Amino acid sequence: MLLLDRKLVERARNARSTADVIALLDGAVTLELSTLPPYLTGVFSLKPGSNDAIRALVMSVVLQEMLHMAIAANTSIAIGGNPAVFKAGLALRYPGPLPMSVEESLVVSLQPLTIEQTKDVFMMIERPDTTATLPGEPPAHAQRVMALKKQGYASIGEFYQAIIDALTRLAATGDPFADPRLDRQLDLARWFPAGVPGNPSCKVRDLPTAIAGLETIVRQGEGAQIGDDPIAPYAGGDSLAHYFKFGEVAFGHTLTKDAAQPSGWAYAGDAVLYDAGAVYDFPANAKVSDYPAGSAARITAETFYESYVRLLRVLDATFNGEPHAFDAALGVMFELKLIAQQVVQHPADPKQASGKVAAPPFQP
Amino acid sequence: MSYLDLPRLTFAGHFQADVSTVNNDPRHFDNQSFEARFQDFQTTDSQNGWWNPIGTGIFRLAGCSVTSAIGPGGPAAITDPALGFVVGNSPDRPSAKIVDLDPDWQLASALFGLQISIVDPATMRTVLVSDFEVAPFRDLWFSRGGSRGDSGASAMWQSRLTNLVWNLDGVTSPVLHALHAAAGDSHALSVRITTYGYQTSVGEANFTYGKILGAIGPVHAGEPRTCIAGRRFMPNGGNPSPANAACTASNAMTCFSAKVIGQTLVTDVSNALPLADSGEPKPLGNLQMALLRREDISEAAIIGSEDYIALGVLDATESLLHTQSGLQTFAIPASMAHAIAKSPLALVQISTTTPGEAQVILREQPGGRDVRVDDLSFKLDPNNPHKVAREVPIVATRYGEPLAGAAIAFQPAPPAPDVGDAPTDRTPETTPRAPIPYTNSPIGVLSFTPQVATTDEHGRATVTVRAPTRMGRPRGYLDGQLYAIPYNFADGQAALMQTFDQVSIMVYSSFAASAQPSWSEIQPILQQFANLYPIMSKGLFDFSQQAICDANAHLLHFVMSKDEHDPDYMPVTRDMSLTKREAILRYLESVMAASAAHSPDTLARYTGRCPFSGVGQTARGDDVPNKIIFNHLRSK
Repeated sequence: MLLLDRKLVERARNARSTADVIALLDGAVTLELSTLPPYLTGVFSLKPGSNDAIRALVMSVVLQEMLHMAIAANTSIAIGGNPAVFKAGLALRYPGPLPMSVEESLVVSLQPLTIEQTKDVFMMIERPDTTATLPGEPPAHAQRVMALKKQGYASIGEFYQAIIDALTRLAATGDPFADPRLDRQLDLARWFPAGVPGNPSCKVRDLPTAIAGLETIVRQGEGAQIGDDPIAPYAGGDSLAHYFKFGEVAFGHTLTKDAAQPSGWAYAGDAVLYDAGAVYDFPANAKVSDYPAGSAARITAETFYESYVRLLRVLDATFNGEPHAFDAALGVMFELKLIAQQVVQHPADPKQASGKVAAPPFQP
Repeated sequence: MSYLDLPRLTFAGHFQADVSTVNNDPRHFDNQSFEARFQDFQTTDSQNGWWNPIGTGIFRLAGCSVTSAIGPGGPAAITDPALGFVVGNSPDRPSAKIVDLDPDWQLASALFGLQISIVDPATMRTVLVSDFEVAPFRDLWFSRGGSRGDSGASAMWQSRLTNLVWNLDGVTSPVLHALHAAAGDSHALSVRITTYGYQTSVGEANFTYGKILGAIGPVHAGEPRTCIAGRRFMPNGGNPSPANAACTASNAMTCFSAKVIGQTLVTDVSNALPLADSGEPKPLGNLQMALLRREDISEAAIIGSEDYIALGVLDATESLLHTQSGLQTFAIPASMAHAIAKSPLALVQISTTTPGEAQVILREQPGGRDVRVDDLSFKLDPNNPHKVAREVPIVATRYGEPLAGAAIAFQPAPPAPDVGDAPTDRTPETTPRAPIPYTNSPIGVLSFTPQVATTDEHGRATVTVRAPTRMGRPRGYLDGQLYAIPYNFADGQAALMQTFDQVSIMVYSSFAASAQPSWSEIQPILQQFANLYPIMSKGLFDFSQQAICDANAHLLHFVMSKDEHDPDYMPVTRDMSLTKREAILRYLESVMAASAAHSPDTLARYTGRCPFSGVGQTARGDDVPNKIIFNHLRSK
């Protein structure tokens, strides 16, 4: 599970001004954004006509991460924030800890979608904040979480809860939502009509809509009530929380109830087939500059990265006064997906035509 | 004024045209006889889906920078700070798309949704963002030559940059400020891009990339938008009959335009110089721009020093292309100012053996008379009251001056099978089985008003072309019909026309769907697109499957509701009539109404296959006939 420097949570708990909370929410926007390169890199590694169920599981997480990013951004905007998505996105580097998180908890790398990457990175990003042993998990995991938490680290769930508490506190003494700038917020009703229960637009008008949005992020991500056992894998409705979607990939079966297990759940349902032979083998943590100048890998990688930068720029515009720019962002996202498929057609090193293929790079 | 005028920026670099080629063969539009292998790369034996079946349609600039910046007063002693500025694409929109008019007319491709931006690389400041108005390329030719794997094709787009967004605070470039001032009244700039050296071999690193040269200058009211009203150099290849002119001179140059501006003659050979195997211009010897003293001196004539006045040596070097975008300025001596408006210009090859003797390589149009339409290629839609007719502007000149009182007529071409786009495979049994469509049939359905237009004192005229109120399906499996319409002077003294400089018009078939279209009504339409664009159907969504279409109804509705100038508009090929599109939208709306809360988890939304199976070294561009239509048309 991602662990944050406790100082951040303390900062949230001690927040006395909207400026303090805006800084934390903007950090949350960057954190949600930072999960897209590892997940998308995994999706881009899946070969044609294979691993369909796995692609569907990971893509549904990607989509919800985008929703979470938008909810955090709308909340920031509602209290006067201007999330600097472009700058924050360009600064992301892999391998490394995700923004605000600590290296001791997790170093995230961009790699093809393997069982190891799913277990060691994807599930660890999304692991619920619980000291219980989760389905399929060795008990050592929970023990390590416990040890780290004792050292003073905090979870993402606690971080969001601290933001909720801070907003509640601010709302008790004043109105942080006096000017929610609704015309600058992104209306998600068209794309996520059930994204935030009871609030189809996902716009933040007041404290209740802010809390509903932030609680959605925690529920869909971790699926568990903070600090509570037993675990609750369903994020609401019939959709699993991210951790358990990745669990189905890692353990090759859907999650089912199993009273015999300590968690009450087991990956023992229908098969979720992973075809390791239908996954491109490409270099980890690729950068545009890794590929030889003039090579097909370099040319397509540059095109991919240029599109990614364009996506960051248009998302930045979306959350900084031009919410309709999101229409263009959608187009650029699909373009990114198409160009990724062109990148992996080429050898990473033209001198080794049968070696690894090029990876779509999220870094220059 | 135009890009030939000052102030002017030129740029050079590369472009990508990731065209999709499954739709290059019109027979692939027939759902009944479509085969899965039509989505594969071509092989030595079979055309399959031609040379890039996985194309996205994306058109973009790549690695372009400003190579010259010339102010209103001419080249400045101090170099302009804009030199080296990056010329690129939209900073915040999806990539532009390159789109054919019709599978039976792939000779006037247009750019939709292209933005051109200029960025200072030192500060990353975007100093200009502009919209490139939709226009088809012109003066397409296929024998320009070039490096291995290059298609040999070359063409130019002339258009206007509009919706200019400047950000010149702190920018010290005098030329950028001069362009800003020049755009003041028109809110537009003139632009010309020339593309060549295009790589069609899938095995090459620069597959789908080519070279691009650009020029940006002022716009003046009264000037045509997509061509130069000026001096037109038109080779006939030794056959002076307008019906058979080869458009290629003995030294392999093709046609080009020029204009007298003040005391100068500005020529644009960006698209006209033949290339050597190196990809750079072939040496052309001592070619002089000259004024011929007599109108009756024809191409290939050997002339003496008394027959011409030289204006200067034509710069036919890579340097001219790269740093000046192929534009060259010749000073006109005061003594010639009068004569140049009454006499033909020519490129002459100076004899190395006989002093003063020269040979005419290519010259201006006979009698100096040129005629161009300023709207070369478009669609008419009998289903759309706003698109049933189009006014086509015409401009006529004589030695570059407006030609008044000229009679001009459109002469629709006779019906003909499109054999050029429908080749027979080397293994004949793999040839597509659908019948080859006949174009230009039925005749007489388009009306032209007036039938013979006469130019006014500005050399201008307009012809209104109108589609019939009802249009059948003369091509069967292909929507609508393609009409190619040559135009020329109607007084018996025809000008020489570039091979593909014909008004090309696609007229949609009449289409009516029920008020609440069923899936079975719209499935065949979506099936055709799924067949033709595997990058979409296999890479993202196969909308021909109801489960996928329904699961993504919001998304499909979103892109199909966009303006066709939006780069993200679907269909990418912009070849769907209004009533067909509305029928699909109505179907999607019924699906959306039934399931507002679409789930993010359904398999149908995310199981897009990647379309790249089979991509590899199996087919090289030079193994196979490249764009057979071009060779066919060229041989006509």
